[in-house]
Amino acid sequence: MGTDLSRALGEIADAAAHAAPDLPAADLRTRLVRRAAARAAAVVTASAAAVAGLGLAAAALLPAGTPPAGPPDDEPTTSAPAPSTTPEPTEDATDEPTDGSTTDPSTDPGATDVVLGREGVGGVAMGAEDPMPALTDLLGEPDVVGPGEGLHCTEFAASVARWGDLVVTLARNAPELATGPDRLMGWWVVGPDLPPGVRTASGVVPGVPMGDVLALPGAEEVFWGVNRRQGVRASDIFHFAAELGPEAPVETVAYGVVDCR
Amino acid sequence: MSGRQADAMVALATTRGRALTGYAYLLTGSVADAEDLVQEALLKVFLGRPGAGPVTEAYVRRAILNLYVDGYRRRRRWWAARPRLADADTVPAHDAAVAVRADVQAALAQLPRQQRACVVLRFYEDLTAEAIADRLGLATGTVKRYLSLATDRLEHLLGPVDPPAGAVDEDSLTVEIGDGHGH
Repeated sequence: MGTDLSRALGEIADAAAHAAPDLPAADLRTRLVRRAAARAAAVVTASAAAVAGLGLAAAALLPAGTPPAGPPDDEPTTSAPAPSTTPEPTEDATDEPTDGSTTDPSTDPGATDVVLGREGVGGVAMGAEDPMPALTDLLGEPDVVGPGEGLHCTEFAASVARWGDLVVTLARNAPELATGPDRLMGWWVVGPDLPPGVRTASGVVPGVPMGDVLALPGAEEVFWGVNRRQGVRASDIFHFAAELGPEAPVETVAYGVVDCR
Repeated sequence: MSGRQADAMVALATTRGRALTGYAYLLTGSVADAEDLVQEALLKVFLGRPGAGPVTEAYVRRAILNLYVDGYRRRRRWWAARPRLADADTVPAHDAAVAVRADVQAALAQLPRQQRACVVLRFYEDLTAEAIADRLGLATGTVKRYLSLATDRLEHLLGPVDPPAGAVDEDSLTVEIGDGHGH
């Protein structure tokens, strides 16, 4: 008599079902509503950017009465405004930078427009040492912090911190940084659930069609990413799509200091 | 996003969340991963069907499977900042069937994800190779090859494996919200 695999699988599933806690229904509801709103805003934003094309000021893309999305990012590829959920920037500031990193002056997490670009996460610069205090000032306490990975094609022990769908990579021993303290090495946006006030420099978030990304200025360089995923590399940002094709939704928007180039 | 859709998702999560987690656990081998997978599947299904009729548990199971097969593990490496707690969330067993279940779990963990998905669909959901092919978007021959490879591997690890009792039409797995039953 052999192993009754069907029965064993049923028992394993039952045991797991009993061991598992209830799903966080209220949290799920909140995430669903936030993602739906972010997706709707992102689709409108990216579509507008694709139609408008290079050189059209971001302000011209915003509906009448909509406040500016925040401080401009000086990257040449930036073209799309932030999702409409972006709150107004605050003028509130302190003058206490944190431990070697360039910090955003706000001490009110979530109240400031935080741009994710090649320069860093908001005012926290790429390469900044021990950036967690500054990031926490900027974004609030992270949901989780722990071991993780950076961009593909690199093998370095990294820590990651996550705020909703924003994952920030902190490296201890990237090839270029064999020793020393944690440094800010990159960021990933893996879904539309971003902390309040956070936006990508390009305005693209996961869920928008890849065709809209291809239409963005500076996004002409297409490459194959991990596991033959299509990617678009502007001067600073990777956009991964699920599969080839302009209709495929963007899965990830990311930037990292270390990559395969 | 309508409040009605959100209510429906909450109802499904509340009434069937644990069962769905058990199903996802067969794929992930980790309760925490299974919970994450189920939550992502729920969000994916309900975001993708705003006002487009009732969402059934079968849709969510399918989304769980697709997310898992379609590189969920790889993507999760990027998102998951969860500190790893070595084997802390595997399900313990306490009776005479412990050894068998533990062995089966360990053996499943040895399978590539496509093969593991095929095994779950064949032996847990009792689907035919044709139905599995339809579910996964693969050729039937490919599914049979995966099942053959997986069975060989499992038998190498577990000894002889009994064939599944039968096969059912996957449509019979569709459960309307509120019906409160599943596999």
